Amino acid sequence: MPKQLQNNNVTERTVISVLLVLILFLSPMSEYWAALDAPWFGPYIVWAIAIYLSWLLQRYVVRNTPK
Amino acid sequence: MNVEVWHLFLISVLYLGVLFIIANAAEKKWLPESLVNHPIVYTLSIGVYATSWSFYGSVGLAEREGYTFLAVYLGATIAFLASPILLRPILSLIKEYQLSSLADLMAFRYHSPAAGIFVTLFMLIGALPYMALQIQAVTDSIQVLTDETDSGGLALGFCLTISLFAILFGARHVTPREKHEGLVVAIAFESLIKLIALLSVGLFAVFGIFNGIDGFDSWLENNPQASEALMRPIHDGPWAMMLLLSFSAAFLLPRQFHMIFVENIKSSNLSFASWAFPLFLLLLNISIPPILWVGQTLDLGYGPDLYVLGVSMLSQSNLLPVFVFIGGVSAASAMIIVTTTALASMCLNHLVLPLRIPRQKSPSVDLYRMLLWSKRILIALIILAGYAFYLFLKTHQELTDLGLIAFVAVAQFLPGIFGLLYWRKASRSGFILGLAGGSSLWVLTLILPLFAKAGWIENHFLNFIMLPMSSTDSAFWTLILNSVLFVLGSILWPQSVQESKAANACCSNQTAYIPAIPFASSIPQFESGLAEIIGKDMAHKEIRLAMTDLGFKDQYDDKNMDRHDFAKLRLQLRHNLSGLMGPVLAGMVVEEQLEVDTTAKVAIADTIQFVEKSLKGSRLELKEMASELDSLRRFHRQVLHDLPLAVVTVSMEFQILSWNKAMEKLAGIPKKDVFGQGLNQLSAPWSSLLMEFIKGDAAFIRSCKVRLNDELTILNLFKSEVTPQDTGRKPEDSPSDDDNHGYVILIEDHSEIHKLESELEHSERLASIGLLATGVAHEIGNPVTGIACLAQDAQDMPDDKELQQECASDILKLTERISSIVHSLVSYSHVGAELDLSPEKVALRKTVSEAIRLVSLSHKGKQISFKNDCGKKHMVMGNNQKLLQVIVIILSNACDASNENAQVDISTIKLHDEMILRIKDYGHGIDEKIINKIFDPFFTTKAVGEGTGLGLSLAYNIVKENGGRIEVCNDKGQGAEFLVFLPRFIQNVHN
Repeated sequence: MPKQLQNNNVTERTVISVLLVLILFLSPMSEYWAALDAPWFGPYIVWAIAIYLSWLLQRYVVRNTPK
Repeated sequence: MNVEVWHLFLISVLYLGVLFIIANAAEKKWLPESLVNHPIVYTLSIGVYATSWSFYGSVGLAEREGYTFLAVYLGATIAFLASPILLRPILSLIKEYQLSSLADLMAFRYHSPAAGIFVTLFMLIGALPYMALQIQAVTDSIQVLTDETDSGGLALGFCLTISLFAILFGARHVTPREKHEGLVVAIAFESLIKLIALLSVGLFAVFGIFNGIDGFDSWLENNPQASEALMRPIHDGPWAMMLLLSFSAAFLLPRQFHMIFVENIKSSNLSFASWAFPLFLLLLNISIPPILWVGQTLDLGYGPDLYVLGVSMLSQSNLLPVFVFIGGVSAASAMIIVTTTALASMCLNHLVLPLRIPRQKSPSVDLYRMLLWSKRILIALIILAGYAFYLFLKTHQELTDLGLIAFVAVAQFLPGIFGLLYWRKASRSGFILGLAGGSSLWVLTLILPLFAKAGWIENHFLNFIMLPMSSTDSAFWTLILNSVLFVLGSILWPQSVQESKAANACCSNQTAYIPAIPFASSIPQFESGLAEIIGKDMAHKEIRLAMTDLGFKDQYDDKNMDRHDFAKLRLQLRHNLSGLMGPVLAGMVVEEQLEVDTTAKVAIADTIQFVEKSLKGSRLELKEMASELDSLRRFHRQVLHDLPLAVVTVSMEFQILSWNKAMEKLAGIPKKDVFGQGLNQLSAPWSSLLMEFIKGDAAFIRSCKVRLNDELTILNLFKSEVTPQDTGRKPEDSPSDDDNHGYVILIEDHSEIHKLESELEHSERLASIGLLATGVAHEIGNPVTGIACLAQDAQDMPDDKELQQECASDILKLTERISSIVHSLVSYSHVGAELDLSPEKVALRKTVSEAIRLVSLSHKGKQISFKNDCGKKHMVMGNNQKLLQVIVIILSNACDASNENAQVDISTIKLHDEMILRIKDYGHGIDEKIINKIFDPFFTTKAVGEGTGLGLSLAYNIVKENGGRIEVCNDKGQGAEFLVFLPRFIQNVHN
């Protein structure tokens, strides 16, 4: 795969990941995980999801970065 | 608690001593390199983000703002998630240009010393509340553990101790350019201690106080309001602004910037840290809710900022509280050590050195020593300034408030960072204006109210102008003002040319500087130039270091270095000095002391590398037409590279710009070994061959004989000058169009073809001899008969001595005639050393006579009268054997075209540098329809078996190879006339 395309893909995936996490943290979705009757560890679960996304993204970046 | 102050002091010093041993072990390579460079160590070192605020203050913030305290870490998670488009580009710039701080980066991007000074000052002011927070946290923790009331004395003792260790950790090196591996490992160790300490307290809270998970769950079921209190502020509190503040703080705080970028040893570690660092933060904060709930339930008697310590004190031993205290010291000391190291470097590069260096003009100055001691003094002064700030506040502040003030301060760099990475038009004026506006509002909304709260402001005017508001509100308004001024300033005051170059370097990964040729053209000149500013010893060391970086093998010999090498050395010095004194000052020193020869042209090879690099690593991807053009450019370059013809392109300064695959194969030299080098640096025979060819007038050289790998090789060389018109650019497009001049040389290996042609010529000669065979037999047969008769006479009359003498004489004459014929035939058929037929002086009259004799051997030739009117002194350059073949071919054709007893005239006409051999027959001439085809191979009008159709074609090629040409004039009915143009032999001129 051309390097240029790989870079484009990395940028796209990064932007998508950041947007997903922002939606998770800032949109009305926060009403669910931060509901008053939600488990106390709800925010930590959402945080862990963001970390998992970051891990997936970095794995992709490392695999597609020319040595 | 049964703990004395001196116990804690001793424990702190011992702990810091252990850290120092760890740091020393890393720097002395006692620890394995794989451990020191491990991504986990790098990740933990970034954990310096978690300071006393996180360690102690998170519980307090959780009590007031609920889970909003998590936003302080979730923003950092987002920043690291975005690392491929945010952190990695910054890391590339830092590494490429040897930048050592945010101030360096901004000064480089906005090409302004003022930007560096402004950033440094603002960073310094912004960091003071944060340092005061650390001092306050440590003194508070000591007071809780020991009931000591003299907080000022405790704080001073802590500051003095930490100053000593900060200097030991951050300012031990002579050259600040080197990485502080020891510091990284020590900070990583501190992060580990913080994590273990907080997790220990969390576990103690759950298992020691709540009696396990079940007890904890049942307590939560009975107290649902506890969880609700944490959740509620997410909806109502400043959640979004906190995310934004921590997003910027995660990589812009001086300590973060320093650990993420400046101390990064392996770029790949950043990828690991992108997920591992948020995981570290999550683990660090998982204990906060249980600790908070224990503190709230048991009413510990301390403020929530000290619940961590208070809960640990509920354990039955001193072990846990002391361990927590060490965790707190870790958090505070790590922050102060790294922050002061980073700030000292910024102050040194942007405040101290610009004032000192221009005044220094002495080779005896020891700049390394000055840098080292200045940095040590600055570290101590900054810590003392933090202590002073702590004292000014008098009344204790919430830890969170102080931390957020620093967060709002560094958030002011966000617009500048955005401009740095993504907005090429962002200008210095916009950046400074925006930062000035944002920072002014920051002072009015956060700093002045802080002083007022501490009772330091009683002035009515100051009371009137300050605008007290919450940190998150202040962040919103300061960022709005900053951004608006940044955009307006950038639009109203556009960039300078230099700034534009720096902007391109940041936004598109172009190289900011192309090596410029300096006046200095020897190492001693470089040394003496730099020594005036940085001292003789440092100049010597830096030049050797730069030469090592460039891969110059002999660092003490500049004989093999040309001007372009010195240009590269100058640029490398600029990069290296940037790591020592910042990009602005390094630029000034190099520009001033190693002046550029503006009349000298920049090497096109460097320009090509510059453009190639820019396109290859472009971060902003090429779009549509640009992408198509780039693909087309790559295709054309590949075509040139894969061309089966050897191609070499050189600049006007004879620097090699391209060297394709066929050339690599022909010369046996890979492209990487010659690209950018001068032609004169090539090995024999290429250096002299190509240089002489380029300098000569001839546009091509045919059949140039060179010896390659002990084999004689025949080369055809062609050259063409590349001019700006050829590039399709108008002269007004660029003032430097002269730089586009150059030469392209095509080299054809003609050895194989030459060999085949020689074989063909030989075959044709043998064929001609075959045609002459009858005549030859006759010519030899007659003298043999005569010899036989004479021998018979001599045998019959043995006593007649006179007759025998006469017979012997006649026999000798006849044998001479036979020898002459045989010699002619042998010499005609002789090929000679195929490739080694060098041009020589040829007397045309003699060669023509020889040709007439050969042709006269044939039956047809006997019937023709040849008239040789060639000038006796008419000489040409060529090969006698080959010219003989040409004349034989033309004369044979003339015989075939002529009638019996006809005449063929042969004469020569002398021109200025040519000689014309004119062969005129009076036969039937050549049909006009075929006259253009007679030199084509295998074209013949003769019957099958009488001619091969190769004669005239070969004659044409032989003459052409000899540097001449053949023309034919036809006079239908009056015969044909062949004009053979040959290069004249002129005495003393051998070409």
